[in-house]
This record gives sequence, C-alpha cells and structure tokens, in this order.
Amino acid sequence: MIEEKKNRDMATDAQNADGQQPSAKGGNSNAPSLLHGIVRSLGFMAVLYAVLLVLSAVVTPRNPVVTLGLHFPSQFDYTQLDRNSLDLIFVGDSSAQSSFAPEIIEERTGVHSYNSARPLQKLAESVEIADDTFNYHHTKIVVAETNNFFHRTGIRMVMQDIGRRVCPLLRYHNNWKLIAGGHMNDNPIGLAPHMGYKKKNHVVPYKGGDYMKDKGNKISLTPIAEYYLNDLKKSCEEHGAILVLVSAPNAREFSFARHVELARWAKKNGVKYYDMNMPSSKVGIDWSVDSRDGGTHLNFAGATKASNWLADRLYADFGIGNQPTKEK
Amino acid sequence: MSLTAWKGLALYLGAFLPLVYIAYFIVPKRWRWIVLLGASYAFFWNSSKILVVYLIAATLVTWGSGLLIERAKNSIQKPEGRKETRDERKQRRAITQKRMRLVCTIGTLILLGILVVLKYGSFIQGVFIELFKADAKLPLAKIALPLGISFYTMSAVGYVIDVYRGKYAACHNLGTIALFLSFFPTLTEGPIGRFDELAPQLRAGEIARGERLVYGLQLIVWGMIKKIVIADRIAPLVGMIFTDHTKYEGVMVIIAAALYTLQLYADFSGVVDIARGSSELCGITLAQNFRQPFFSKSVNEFWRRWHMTLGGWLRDYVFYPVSLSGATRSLSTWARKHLKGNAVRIVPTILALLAVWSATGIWHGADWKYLAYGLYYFALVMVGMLLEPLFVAFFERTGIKRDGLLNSGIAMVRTIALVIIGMMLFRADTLADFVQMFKSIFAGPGTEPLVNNLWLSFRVSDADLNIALIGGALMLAVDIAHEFDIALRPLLLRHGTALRWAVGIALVAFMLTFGAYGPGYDAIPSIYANF
Repeated sequence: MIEEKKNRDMATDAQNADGQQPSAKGGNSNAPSLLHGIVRSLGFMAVLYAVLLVLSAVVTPRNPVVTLGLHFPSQFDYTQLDRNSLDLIFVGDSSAQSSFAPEIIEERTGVHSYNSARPLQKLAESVEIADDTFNYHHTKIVVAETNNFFHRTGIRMVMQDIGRRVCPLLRYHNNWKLIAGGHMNDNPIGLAPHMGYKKKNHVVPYKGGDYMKDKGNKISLTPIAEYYLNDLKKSCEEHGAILVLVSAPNAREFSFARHVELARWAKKNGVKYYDMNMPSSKVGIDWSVDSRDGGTHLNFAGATKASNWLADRLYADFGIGNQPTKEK
Repeated sequence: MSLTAWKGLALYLGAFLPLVYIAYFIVPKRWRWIVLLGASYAFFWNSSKILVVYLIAATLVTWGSGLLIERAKNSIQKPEGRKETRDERKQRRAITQKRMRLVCTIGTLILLGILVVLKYGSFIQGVFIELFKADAKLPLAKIALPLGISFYTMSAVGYVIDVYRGKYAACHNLGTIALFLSFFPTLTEGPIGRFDELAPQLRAGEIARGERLVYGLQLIVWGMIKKIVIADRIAPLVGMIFTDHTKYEGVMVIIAAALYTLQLYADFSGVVDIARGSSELCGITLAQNFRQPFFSKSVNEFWRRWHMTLGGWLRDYVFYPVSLSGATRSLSTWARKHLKGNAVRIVPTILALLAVWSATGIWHGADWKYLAYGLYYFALVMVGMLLEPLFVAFFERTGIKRDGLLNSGIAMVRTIALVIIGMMLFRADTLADFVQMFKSIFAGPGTEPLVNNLWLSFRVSDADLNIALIGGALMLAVDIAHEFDIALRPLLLRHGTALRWAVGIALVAFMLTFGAYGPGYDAIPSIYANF
C-alpha cells in the first residue's frame, strides 16, 4: 500500500513538474544543430549587450558628480577639482587613506595632491582610478600604496574589473533610484574634506614587537597583481607620469617578506620604491603615539610624519615641489 | 564561492559554471561524470576546505552500507541440489533480514550521528549543562559545519534505507555515490536528491542543447531575480523590524512577518531555481521543490507544495516507518477498544505526525524555536483533524460547496495567515521574542511608522520596497499561471524569436538594473544555507 501511495505521489509530482517544464525530458529531441545554436546565442548576446549598454548610458553619471551609484564617492573627487590642478595622486586602501594628508604635503613642498584611496580598495580599482586621473589632470606622480597588492587580488577582482569596464550598468545600476526621484544630477555629499585623507586623532598604541624582523618566510605577488601593476606602470609611462610604490607604516600587516617581494618587483621594473617600515627609512614613527588602532593605521600625528617624509623624498628624488619647509 | 549571496553568485555564474559547462561539453560523454565530480569537490572545498573529510566519510559509509546490505542479503545461499522448504526459506529470510537491518541501522546511525554531533552537539551540550547546572565549557560549540551537511546526509540516509528496502540494488561504483552526495548545484540548499532519480542522470553525460539549454538559463535568471531583486531588497527592512521588534506593534509586525514570508520564499525558491537551472545545463533534471505553496487551502497542502523534497523524504523515511511501527499498532488497537468516532482515526496517527513535525522543526536548526515551529504545524494539523467532522456537518447543512470559489478563497487566506504566523516564529531570534511580537500585534494599530515613513531608512527606501513588491507581483503572476497549468516557458517557445528574445533580455536587464548587488550592498547569505 505504501509503495502504491509512493508511486502515486511520485507520478503526481512528475505530472506537476512536467506541467511546468515539459522540456525536462526529451527536450533535446528538437535540438538545432550546434552551429545554428551558437549563431543564435551570439545574436542574442549581441542584442542583450546593446540593451545593457543603453541602460549603462542611462545610469552612468553624465558629469563626474558624486552619486549613490559610487561606493566611497570621495575617491573620485579628483574629477571635481580644477582641471590640471593636481601634481600627485594617491591610490590604495585604508592604509594609504590614513597615511597621506595632501594638505600637509602642500604645506611642506607646495605639491598639490589628492588622496583617492579608500578602505578595501582593490588593486584593480587603484589602477583604474590612477588611469582615470589622466583624463582630468597632468599628474606628475602616481603613488601606489602597497597594502592592497597582497589583498583580494584573485579571480573575483578580475571579474569585477572586467564587469565594470565592459558593462558600466554593473557599477552604476543603483542610480535608478536617483533617476526615479529626479536627483540624478544632485551632489548630495560635496567635496571630501582634507582632499580625501581620513583624519583621526585618537591614539591606540601598537604594543607588538619588531615586525620587520626577517623570519625567513617568502611572500609573492600573485600573477594577477603583477599584471595590474604592469598595467599601471604602462599607463603612467604613456601619460608622462612617474609611478612610485610606497609602503606606509603598518605594524600589523606589513612584514620583511613583503618588503623583499616589493623591492624585487620594483627593481625588476625600474620603479622607485619607498618602504616607510624599514628602520633605515627614519620616518620617525613612534608606535606608542602615532597609531589610531594598535598598529594598522596611522593617526593624524603619524600621517603628518609620513606625509612630510614622503614630500621630502619626492622633492629630493624627483625635484617635485619646492624646497621643503621646516616642520612646525 | 557559494550560491548564497550575490558575491558568491557572481563568481559562480561568471566563472565557475561556464568553466564547468565548457569542460563538460568538450570531454567525451563517458568521462563527463568525472568532470562533475571534480567540480563538485572543488565547489565544496572552496567553502568548507578540510571539512571535506566529513563528506568523504559520509560517502564511504553510504557506499559501504549499500554493499554490506547487499552482502547480508546474499549471505545465506539456497541449498544446492534440492528445493528449499518453506521453513528453510522463512528462516533464511529472517536471518538475512536481521543482518540487513543491522547494517542499515548502523549505517544510518553513523550518518545521522555525524550530523547530530556537528549540527546539534553544541545545543545538546547546552541543554545538559542547563539541566544539571554544570559549570562547563562547550567544546562542540566551535565545530564548523561543512557545506550542505543536512542536505547530503538526508540523501545518503535515503539511499541506505532504499537499498535495505530493496527499492533498488546497491551501487558498486564509489564515484557514483560520491557524485550523488556532492553534486554541486544541490550542495547549498538542495533539492534533496533520490538516488534512483539522480544517479542515472549524473552518469548519463547528457548535455543540454537547444530549448533545454534555454530553459536552464531562464531558470537561472529567474532564480537570480527572486534572490537579488526581491529577497535581498527586503532583507534589511525585515531585519530592522525583527531586530528592534519592541519598537513596533500592530500592523507593522504583521507587515514584517508577511515581508519575511515573501523574502524566504523568494530567497529559497530562487536559489533552488539557480541550482535546477545549473543542472539543466548539464542535462540533469533535479526534483521540483516548490509548487505554488501560497495557493494551498490547508497547512497540510502547504507542506506538500513547500520544500517538497524535504516533505517527501520525511514521508518516506519517518512517517511510514513510524506509522507501521509496533507502538503505532498498539495505539491503534487501544484506540479501537477505548475510543469512538473520529478519535479512532486520529489517535493512531499522532505518533507518526508528531515524529514528522518534530523532525521538520529540528531539521532547520538546533534551537527550541525550530522545535516549536514544527510543533506549531503539528498542532494545526491535529486541530484540523479534530474539527473535520464539524466542517463536514457545516457544509452539509448549509449546502455551501466546500470546493467552491468563495470557500477556497477563504481557505487560502486562512492558510496564508497561519503560515505567516509560523514564519514569524521561524524568523524571531528566540521563542520569547516571538511571543512578545505576537502579543504586540494586538497592542495597538501601530500605523504611525507607516504613515510617517519613519520605518524606511536610507538603506531601505520606498524605491527599494516598490521594486521588491513589483518583483513579488511578477512571482505571483508566474505562480498563478502555473496554478492554472499554463506552462509559460513552452508557451513562450512557441512564439516568434522577437518576443522570446525580448522577454529574455527584459528579465536580464531587470535583474541587473534592480538587483541589490555591488558596492554598498552587503552580501546577504541565503536563509536556507544555514540549515
């Protein structure tokens, strides 16, 4: 009896399933030839792509205004500054955002810069932003902070990067809300304060030991990371800019193994590399007062030291800006 | 990578699935199952890493149990050279049956034991510590759960019991069992597979072309719309109200529970659609898991249409065995002797129904609220059975047609209301929270946040809600069509290319434009992936 009921139930389920998708079994009976299928699929994809491009055009901001479609819109504020007013752009993740204060640098050497870094900015985004600044400014130097060279540089980053470039709808799709509300051209946030630098004053000391000790381990840049770095270098060369790699002070994430790998890549590719973590660099970071979170990010006191140090080095090595003023 | 949140889905649909499909396509037919097996283990490894040992252990136990049951069945040979007497046959069968049952029981206990220790160990420990007021730490609390353990364990147990029952022969190929348990589209949220339905398809190496390929892709897009346009847009709002539930009362609590019901349906059925669509691309048809559940006229019917593979599994491996057990037979005998009327019919089913609904609740998680969730439905079913004679008398006396339009409509609304209450219990953080929320429905109208739009934060604007409701209406329209046996996809296929392409493109554009994904959106894990 149980078997009968089971069979009955199964038959009913099968009927129901077939009612909704009669193709499931025997769906290949009318299958077209492979070539025919491929041609039709390509045709469909072409029309679909055309429609997505039209939608992309609708949702992409016409002016480089800050909109809800952008994650951390302050990283794009270089588009709002006077054209050709920037000498230097910073890209990278929160390590860069909290370490380099353009206002300090300008005060020190008169170099006009913008910090386009943001928390969790991926290397692909850094490259894209650096590349984009050339559409607005004759940037002389691109400073790529190195922390994000070692984070999330896998296939997902590549996919997101391709998606953003090939179909801007994927990036700006959320602007449908602004369009629906008639606010597409509004700028609800305005220009970011401190030229993109994230100013924090509080102090949480780093209490660990010497993080730059050689532990004998090795770290390598992924092939994907190297591909994007080569791309960035090429873009800088094409636009007459200099690429500079900088490792900001970071006691919790940086290591000697990273220094070795970055120095290797920089040497191989003829790129200038500054590592503020090396004791020999003499940046003067005092981890008991210069960090805001126990060693990962600098506070304003630490950022002032790092920014002044970098301004001095850029003047000394590239002649960018004026003779550094004395520290106040 | 997983099928549970937009970040994982992007990687799954953008890289993993196309690569698997291409590999599956170019490899000779007889080796295609190996491609699926490799892909499934890679998928599992990606989310669970070393916990793959549990999957391997379950696979070996399942495979070994099947072979040992077969061996036990053939362990006593018929006498050679003469006909076996009836007594000899009876004795032989009794012994082999006993051995088969022993193997089946051990195999099932090992499989369920792993599940119980990993999924319920911490909860059980907590209960003991609470009972005996012991001051102890919970070593099991830190054990991580491998991906899909509840789903693949049920498939494994089903296989072992089916082999024991002689429904089909034991499978000798370890690879087939491994693929059956690990098949990547079903790992995250099922549907729970049956070996005799799934294994032949997995080994067949068929590939979808033409309309079947289109159906597979359509299912994936439709599932994505349900997940990222409907479920993920509602999720923050539902979460906000359930988290701060003490701030709300009356209509707001009802709205939150109703929206959660929509979210769960869109989320779960969406992910299952993506799984079914992915399988369809490899020429594999997975079992249907939903059949317009919100058109049910009773909670019993609801559970025959909602998470159908779980309901089917519990029916075959819990309800029937308990119904045929000695305890139920004794209860039935007792009822016939001591009771009268409707009670004689109801009492013997109590044990089996209690077992099924307790299992339904507990399957969802190690928490008292899940047990209460199952018992809530048990209570509803029992009340329904008790009131049935009254309903019959009512319809006879009034002459109202029970299956008439009006009564059917009332029954549907009543069922939806009961399901929404159940969902409130399901979603509430604790049983006490549920009780508080349920009481607060009657505490006042609670319309103030609704009127003043205070409940819509920046993250969940009215635009979000409107798009989710449009998506919900689209889902309802599709469900209505299916309920009236209108098969939309074949219907579409019969029309010209222009219309078909227009619908396909519109759906993809709708999904990509209005989906809750990308910068600024949290990846919201699918609800059933936690189970």
